[in-house]
Amino acid sequence: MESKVKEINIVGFLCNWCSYAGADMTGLGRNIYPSNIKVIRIPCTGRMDPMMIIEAFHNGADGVLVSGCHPGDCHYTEGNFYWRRRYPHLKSLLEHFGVDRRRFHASWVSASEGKKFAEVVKKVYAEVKDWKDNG
Amino acid sequence: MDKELQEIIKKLLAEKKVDWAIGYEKAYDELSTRPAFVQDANDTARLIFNKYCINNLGLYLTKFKKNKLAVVCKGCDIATVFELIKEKQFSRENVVVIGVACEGVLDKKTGKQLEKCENCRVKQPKGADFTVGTGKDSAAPKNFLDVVEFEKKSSKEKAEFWNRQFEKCIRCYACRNVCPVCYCPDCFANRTMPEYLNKNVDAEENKLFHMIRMQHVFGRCTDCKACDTACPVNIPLTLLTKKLAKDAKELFNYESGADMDVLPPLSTYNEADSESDIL
Repeated sequence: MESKVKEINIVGFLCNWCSYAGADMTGLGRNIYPSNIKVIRIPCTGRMDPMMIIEAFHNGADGVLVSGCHPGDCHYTEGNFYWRRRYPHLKSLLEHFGVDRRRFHASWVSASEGKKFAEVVKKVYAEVKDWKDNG
Repeated sequence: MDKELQEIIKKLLAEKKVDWAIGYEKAYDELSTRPAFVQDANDTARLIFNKYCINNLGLYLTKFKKNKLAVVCKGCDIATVFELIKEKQFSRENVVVIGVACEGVLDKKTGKQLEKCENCRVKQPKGADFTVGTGKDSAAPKNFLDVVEFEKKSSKEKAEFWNRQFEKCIRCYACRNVCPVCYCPDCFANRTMPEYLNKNVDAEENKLFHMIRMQHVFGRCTDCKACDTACPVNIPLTLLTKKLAKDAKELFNYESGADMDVLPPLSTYNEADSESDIL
């Protein structure tokens, strides 16, 4: 009765205007990607409160992916520029507290890049799996 | 030196240039000092400054916002004042900074000089309205040797280390309450809707509190070590605040409180910022 395989949980925070639509496009295009990602829609990566990411890890997420519009394409003009500054600092801080590098990722996916979204999720899944298997 | 300090404050109070002056006074024994709040020009005789004046008085500026204040600052505390002004907590005109030259402060528990004083480059205060005494700055730059050493550990070892440290934490919130840049009237740790933080005191929740607090003070923390000194169970918070300083320096070339014209790193952006790590 080994049916309870330790499943990998990845929380995906996707921006409403690009990446969320991009994730839709992935489905429409019948691209296959790991279903371990649980998507949470956010208005903009600029709204991405680092607290929510820390909370996600605290509550048992194995990985977190934050995805937004490409720089310059932000619906609110500059939200993702702020995110781009928060990301490296948060990654570094989380690492200092012992959250592995492989667990936290960010990406740019536009509404038309369904294929890219599938690739990104596959990549994140591989990294998180690597962490979980090899420590 | 005390005399000179008292004269300056006496004059400021007598001429009604400030409503309150915040300085240090002698506390219950020879080695102890505490913050002193002086409102009367005839009451300045109790103000002192010595090597046990460890408190960062920048803490009180956000609590007396409506008044004009004079504050006694060591060179390192001035960074805090500048950082708070940048965050528009009060205007530069409302605060008179009295810089005191400092030869390094001692922790009275151990009798040793604080680690931050070793390579201090602001023994002679910079940017103050009045300066008392002269100090000799260290030529060596700030080093992050212990942080670099810690970073070499694997993430598992790091997690274990912090879990052990935060098992000690009694969540007294002394680190937050003593932090000059933790001035939110409604701290996330106290909120119940939504409840970001379980009120249980256990290692995981404690770690969550410290992680979020460190994130909140990134780029604003001036590494003044107030939290580290206040901690009753000796959690090495310096290892965290130094990491913040190191990251701000390395990622954004930012030094808290050093330059009044440069905004904190997360309050601004540059279109040319690096995105090497983004998929």
